[in-house]
Amino acid sequence: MRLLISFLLFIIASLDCVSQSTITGKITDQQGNSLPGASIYILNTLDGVSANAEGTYTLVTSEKGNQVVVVSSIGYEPINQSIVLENKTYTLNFKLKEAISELEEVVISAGTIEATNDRKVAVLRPLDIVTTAGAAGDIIGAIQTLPGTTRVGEQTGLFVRGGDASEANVIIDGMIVQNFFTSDVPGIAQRSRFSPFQFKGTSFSSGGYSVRYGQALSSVLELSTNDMPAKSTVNVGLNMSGLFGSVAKVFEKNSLEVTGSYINVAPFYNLANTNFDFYKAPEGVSGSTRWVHKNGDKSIFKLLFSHGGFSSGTEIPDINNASQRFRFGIKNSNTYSNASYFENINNKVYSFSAVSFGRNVDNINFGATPSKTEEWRLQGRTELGFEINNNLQLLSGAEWQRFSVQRSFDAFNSGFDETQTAIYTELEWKPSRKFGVKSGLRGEHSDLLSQFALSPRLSAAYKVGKQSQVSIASGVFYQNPNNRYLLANKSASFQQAIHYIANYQWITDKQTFRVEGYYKSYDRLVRELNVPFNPNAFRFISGDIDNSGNGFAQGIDVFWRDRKLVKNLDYWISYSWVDTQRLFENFTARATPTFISDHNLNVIAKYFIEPLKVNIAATYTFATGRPYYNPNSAEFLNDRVPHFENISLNISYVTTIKKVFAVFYAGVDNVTNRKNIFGYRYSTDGTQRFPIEPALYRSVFVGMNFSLSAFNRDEL
Amino acid sequence: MKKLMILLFLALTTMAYSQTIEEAIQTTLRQFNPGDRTATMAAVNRFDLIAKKWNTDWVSHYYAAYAKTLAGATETDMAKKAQFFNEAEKSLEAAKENGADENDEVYALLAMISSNRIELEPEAWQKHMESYNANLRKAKQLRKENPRIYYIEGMSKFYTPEAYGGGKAAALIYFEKANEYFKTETNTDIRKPTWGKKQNEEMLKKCSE
Repeated sequence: MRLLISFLLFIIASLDCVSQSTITGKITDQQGNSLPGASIYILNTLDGVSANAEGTYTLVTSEKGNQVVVVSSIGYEPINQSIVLENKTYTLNFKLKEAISELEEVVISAGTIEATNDRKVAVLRPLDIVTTAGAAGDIIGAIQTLPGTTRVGEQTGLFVRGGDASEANVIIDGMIVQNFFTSDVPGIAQRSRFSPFQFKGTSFSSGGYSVRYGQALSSVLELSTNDMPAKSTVNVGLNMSGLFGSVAKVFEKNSLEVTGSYINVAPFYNLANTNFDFYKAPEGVSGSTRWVHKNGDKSIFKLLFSHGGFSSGTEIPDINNASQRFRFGIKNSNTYSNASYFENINNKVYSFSAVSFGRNVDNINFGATPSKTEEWRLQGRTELGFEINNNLQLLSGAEWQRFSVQRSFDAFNSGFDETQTAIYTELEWKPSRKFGVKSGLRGEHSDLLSQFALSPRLSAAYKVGKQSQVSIASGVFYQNPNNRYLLANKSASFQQAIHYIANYQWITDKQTFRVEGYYKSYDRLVRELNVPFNPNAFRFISGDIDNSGNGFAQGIDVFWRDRKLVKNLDYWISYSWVDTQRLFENFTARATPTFISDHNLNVIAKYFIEPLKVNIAATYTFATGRPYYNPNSAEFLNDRVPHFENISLNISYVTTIKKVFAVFYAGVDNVTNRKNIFGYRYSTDGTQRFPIEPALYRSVFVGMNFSLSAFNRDEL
Repeated sequence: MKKLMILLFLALTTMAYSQTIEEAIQTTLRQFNPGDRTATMAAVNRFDLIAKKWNTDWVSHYYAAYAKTLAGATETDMAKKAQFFNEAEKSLEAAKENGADENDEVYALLAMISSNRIELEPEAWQKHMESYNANLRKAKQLRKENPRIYYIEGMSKFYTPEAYGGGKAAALIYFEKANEYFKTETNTDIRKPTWGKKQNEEMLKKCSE
């Protein structure tokens, strides 16, 4: 009995104090700063303590023999250290290495500026686009303030790094939008048909874009539509160019949105002094409906259908007779639909498929001559992404498009049908968090040209510091001859551009600095043979064409954004310098095209006056004078118009009245009423010249928006 | 005597070795004080150890997530804040995988994390708002008497500017509703979390001022 008691006592004693080890020490980062709150424990046991405010700890354990001590602290790489515990006191100091977070991982980004909510640090957010002064709520207006672009006030479209509007493609959810802009009125740049509020992400590539896309020599603007709306809402808006309304209803995994709008620009044009006479102000009705089905993070299906039309009548300068004006009337009807499906099949594989159909009809009165253009495009895309292992990612896909453009001018009919197919594959290799390479190959075929081309693309990025990286991109890009030639039934082969881009970027959550240099060579551009130069974009193509054109573009883009300097102030500066010359279309010599400004500067500032709940935004734009064609000049396209300058102001006020969220806004474009000139048009004999003017000088725009989130009675 | 000895032996060994998950969690919860950084970190670390030991029990992961959420909410370093929320979400994922896939408390806590993320990344509010709403909806569906649902909604309203439909008056009705349900809770089963009562009372006071 006594023996038993002493045995038990021995066990108890040994449990309690004798057989214990003590580990003590200090936990710091690499620089020696203490890490309070770090966790130290013996693996697979409950024996653990936290470091105190000085970073020191004392861990007492009854574990024995071979054990593993784990040290961890949030934001640092954990350390596992083996130890043999023999009832002694040990001193272990640890230095933890900072973990590389998602923030610091390299992003392959040369050539692209993204406005997204999906990434923690982004150059821009979608809301930044909507609130840019001078953009008039148009997504393209905002993109035109980014480096690499030129604002060409009298022409519709996106002009990027020496490329003309036809060399840039706009893509929505993976599908090319054939008629992204409102139908053209000669001499007046048109807005896009889509509201910026529809998009959660904008990715603007000014070169070197991915193998997913082709048929654009200079640029791709990729827009991704919103996922499910956050809440059921009713929204009503009213401004000087019309009224619009939308209803969104959110169910558990589905949402349905319906929108409708009536546009009448008469009040706006009446208030502004227009340089053109609108004998019929643009007026139109449109509507859309969208259904989204979202299954958690697993899959999302989006279906969009929209239809609308408008008509307008403008007195524009006569294309054939510079001193005269004539009436340009247009009646438009546009349909667009897009369905896309994304699924994470498992955590290694995802799939994306989309189909879209768009149709656009313009009935035009060209003075006394009736004209009609009818276009449609049907397309589909399917792709698969695989994660081969932690640092290797493969993307493969295929694309098919069929489109048609038919035009009649009086009794003269022309048109073409085209089918394009493409397959592509891209491998992304990130051997470390600091370095990544993307290489891809795209094969595309055109039925109309009976031609196949292979475009290799390559981009790479290396993280040089915690917030900075350098990246490069290069690629070969092909594009069909301009529709103007295809409509005239002239045949040529693919035009080609090769891009070389180098980029340095420094980005924190409040500041961004980005500089990018590029060189592009253009080859196999279409040329009209044996014709004199004619600046008329609507000229009749009668002669032969071939692919003997060429050219180059080089330049530097700089972007600086700062939200740190002053609280509630956000400003950015973008500057581009471009040097480009081409021999193409009906040029008689290699020259800088008329849509180029050598130097472009945009300064954008937004300030939120917190106590008043008022947002003020201003945009300043400066561009050096563009070349224009002077028939009396000895050298081709050697004359320059005066520089372009514009200041826009925006003010908006947000408030909640009862349960209604309201926004009131007002804007002034061209505050100083500067008489900018885009070029000159000469009379046929060359003795008289007439300036090409913007549609408006100073203009004022006001509007308001009300939204009511459905207040669910069951909520309380 | 023999019996006594054996009992003594058992009692001591149990104390040293066989603490139950309930006891481990209860003890840690008692020592948990969100106002004190050191104590908060100690609780985060402790709950992590508990979650490692009893890793097939959802409730261990739930409390690990709870401690990390509060640690994130009181952290001042923006990058670390996000990391705490990431870790908390990972713990809740583990809780779901271990039997809490249909537990209202898990979804309420997920909603709380989303609402904290809105404050952290106001630019990405739409994305976080969507997940906040979806999680709250799910929590209500599972058990609409959960007072933490209304406490979290109240907090979200409280920190929303009045211009955007928030403010004290808007928040008050939620805290009042939460208070009703908090009254019915008893602190007896760790699998039925009861946190939030005191905080809710403080918010009630703040809103009535």
